Amino acid sequence: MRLSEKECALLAGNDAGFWPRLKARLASRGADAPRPDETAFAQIRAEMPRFRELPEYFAWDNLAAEMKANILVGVEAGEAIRSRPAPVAVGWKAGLAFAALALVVVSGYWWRTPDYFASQEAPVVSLLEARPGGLELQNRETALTVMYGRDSGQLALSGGLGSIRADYVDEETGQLTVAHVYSE
Amino acid sequence: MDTELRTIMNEPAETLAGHTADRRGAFIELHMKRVFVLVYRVVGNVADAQDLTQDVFIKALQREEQLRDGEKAAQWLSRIAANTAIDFLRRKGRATLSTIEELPELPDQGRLADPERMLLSAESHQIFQDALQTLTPRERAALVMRDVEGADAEAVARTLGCSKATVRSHIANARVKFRKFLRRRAAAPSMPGRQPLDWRKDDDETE
Repeated sequence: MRLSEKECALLAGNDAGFWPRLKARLASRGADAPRPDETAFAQIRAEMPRFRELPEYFAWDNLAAEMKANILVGVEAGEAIRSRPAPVAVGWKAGLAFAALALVVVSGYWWRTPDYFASQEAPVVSLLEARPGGLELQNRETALTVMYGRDSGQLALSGGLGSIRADYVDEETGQLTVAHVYSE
Repeated sequence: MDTELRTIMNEPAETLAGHTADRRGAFIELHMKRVFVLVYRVVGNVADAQDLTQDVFIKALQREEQLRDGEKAAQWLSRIAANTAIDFLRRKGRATLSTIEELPELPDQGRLADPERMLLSAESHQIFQDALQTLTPRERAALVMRDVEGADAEAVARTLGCSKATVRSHIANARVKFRKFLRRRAAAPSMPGRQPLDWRKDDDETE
């Protein structure tokens, strides 16, 4: 049973799973010598811990001192920024609240004005009208009628702006009756 | 040193009021070399490793409450360090990798006949760093944590935020590439310089 190079690489570091380990055990039955690939990987791996250290040409002490100073300054700068009081947030919420308040104030000012309501009501109109029975003045729901008198006779109607006049002559007596109604 | 730090970290906050800088200094000194080495091995250059190491400690010390337990703090730092280094390479989009077929030149190549013994040579650190450049960032991090630092596969999986099987895959790939690099390096008559490659493709394949 042949092991792949990757399996040997894992076996060298005791990282192989169950199946490659079983394969290795079966493959090594009867063979005293370890597999060359596995040995090579193990040799390389044995040298690896040396590289925890940096090469001698690294001026580590200077580098470390510089980094340490920078780190401490960086941490302190971060703390200084965090400890600064947060600026008052005047965002969209505040704007919305202000707009709502302004709307209330403007609306209140508008609605409190009586002229506004007055202008919204129907205008008071008086209507002067000559009807068969007499002169009638209508004002909203009420009406006033000045009767002509008898049915026979001559009637002359005239009118101007805000007034109407009826001249009535009684045929029997020749009496002239003038009815003049003004509207204000 | 570890016990001493743990004692300092466990003191009540009011006692520590005047010792904050000392406490932080001790914490940094205790872990800095390990963190720097991990980051340096992954990113492959000192300047970036220096910046990233500083970032790692600043991030960690901003959450000091998580550093009370020395052992957990060390593991947490490793996680931040590995992820910071890997993210850095991801953000850059491309990592500088050498293909195994196109190896950098050694000044006195061919002196060592046994490739496995190349890591004992005077240039061993350079060879090691060059070999790491043939790995993807996650393979680098996994190999450094497992074989250099000696962490077990489960701890590496926790640190990298992946499954143990994925870690095994990373480690197997890394060891095979590493060995192949050493063999080529020992035998190659001439080796051209590094070439940037898209490592993300490799990472996807291994996972």
